Amino acid sequence: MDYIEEIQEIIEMTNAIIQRKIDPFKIDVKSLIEKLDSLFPKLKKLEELMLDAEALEHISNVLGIQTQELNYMAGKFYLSSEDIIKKLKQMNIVELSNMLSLTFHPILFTSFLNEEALFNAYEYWLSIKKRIRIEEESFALLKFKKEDLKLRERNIAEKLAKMEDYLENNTPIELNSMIDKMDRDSKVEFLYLLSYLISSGKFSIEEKGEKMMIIKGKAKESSSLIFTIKP
Amino acid sequence: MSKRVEKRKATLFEKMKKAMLLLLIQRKSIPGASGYELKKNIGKKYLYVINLLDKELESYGLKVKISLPEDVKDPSNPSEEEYDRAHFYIIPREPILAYRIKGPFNIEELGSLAACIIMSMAKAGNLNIKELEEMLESKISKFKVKRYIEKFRKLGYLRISEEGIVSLGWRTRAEIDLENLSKLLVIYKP
Repeated sequence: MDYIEEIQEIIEMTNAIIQRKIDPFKIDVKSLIEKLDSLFPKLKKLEELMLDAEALEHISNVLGIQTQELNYMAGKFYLSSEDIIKKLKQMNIVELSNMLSLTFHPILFTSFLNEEALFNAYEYWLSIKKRIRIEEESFALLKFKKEDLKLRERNIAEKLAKMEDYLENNTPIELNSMIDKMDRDSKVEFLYLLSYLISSGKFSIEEKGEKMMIIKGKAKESSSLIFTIKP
Repeated sequence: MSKRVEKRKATLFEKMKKAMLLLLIQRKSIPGASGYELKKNIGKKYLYVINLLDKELESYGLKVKISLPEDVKDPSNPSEEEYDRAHFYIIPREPILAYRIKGPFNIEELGSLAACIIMSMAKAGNLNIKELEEMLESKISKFKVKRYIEKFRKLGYLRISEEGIVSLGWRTRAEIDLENLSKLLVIYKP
């Protein structure tokens, strides 16, 4: 085939695409450009050069149409969900990685040590000794609290023993008659200590009509009682 | 040039430098900066400064990527409030094609990540983790599947809800050109 005929064939082919007679993706633009490139040294006359320019213009138009089509298809997300998954299954791992590589723009960021950060670190280092001292102080405080707690525990044990003795000699006794006379703090303390004695199974509360009686022994059924103490 | 113009130019340049440092130096778990942060540090007209910075970065092959919040009403014309909630990053203008600088990924991981992203896009927020695992098992060794998915989740490429629903993470939205990925998918022929 004559080289002029070859150029004319390119023009006809691209023209058919421009006129939307054939699918714009049917032709390989790269091979057409390579062909034109190989033919270019043979072109001498102005008419031939004009023909070459025309072919190039048509190819660029085809590229424009291809881009337009792609944008349209992608804009509409031309493929259905099933089509995408079907294509995904057909692709191998290298094809997939290549596809991602063409769209991959990794974030640029850095984290580094500067003068300020180093100075802060130095300050922190110096402050560590101070911190240990504070911890020691708080540890001493903790010891004191533990001792205090032991003292309180001893007090509670004494009070519990006293209360147990009293109830041992006076039960059955009505609960309200005991706590009605007490002030708020004593009421809370009494009920708190009583809850210990009930939990240990030494005493229990039995309802007799409207009265709540403290009796000896474990309750038949486990239940809860709520007391509201006004401030 | 009058002194006033010179002063304004210098102020803008200082703001651009400040914006660039805010975007480049990681201070929290996610790099870059939010619109709120930029507004707080640069001022109300931070978008103008970001625009200038973007033009300046162009000569270095970089750009400022604005990752809009997911609930944005009109992505082509976001409101000021939506810009405030957006996240700003600096990314290369062109994709990185050399595997050597692909960060923490090898080819297999990159391919698996592509599969996860495409699958998530196809299922549009209804992708179950089991379904994704099954699909990946057809491409790579079964033992690697869970490890890869966990890696992508940790790096922020995927988001997995307590119910096991997989969706795209903040990093995918920032680093992957999803529009181009869908175009490539459309033209792919086996």
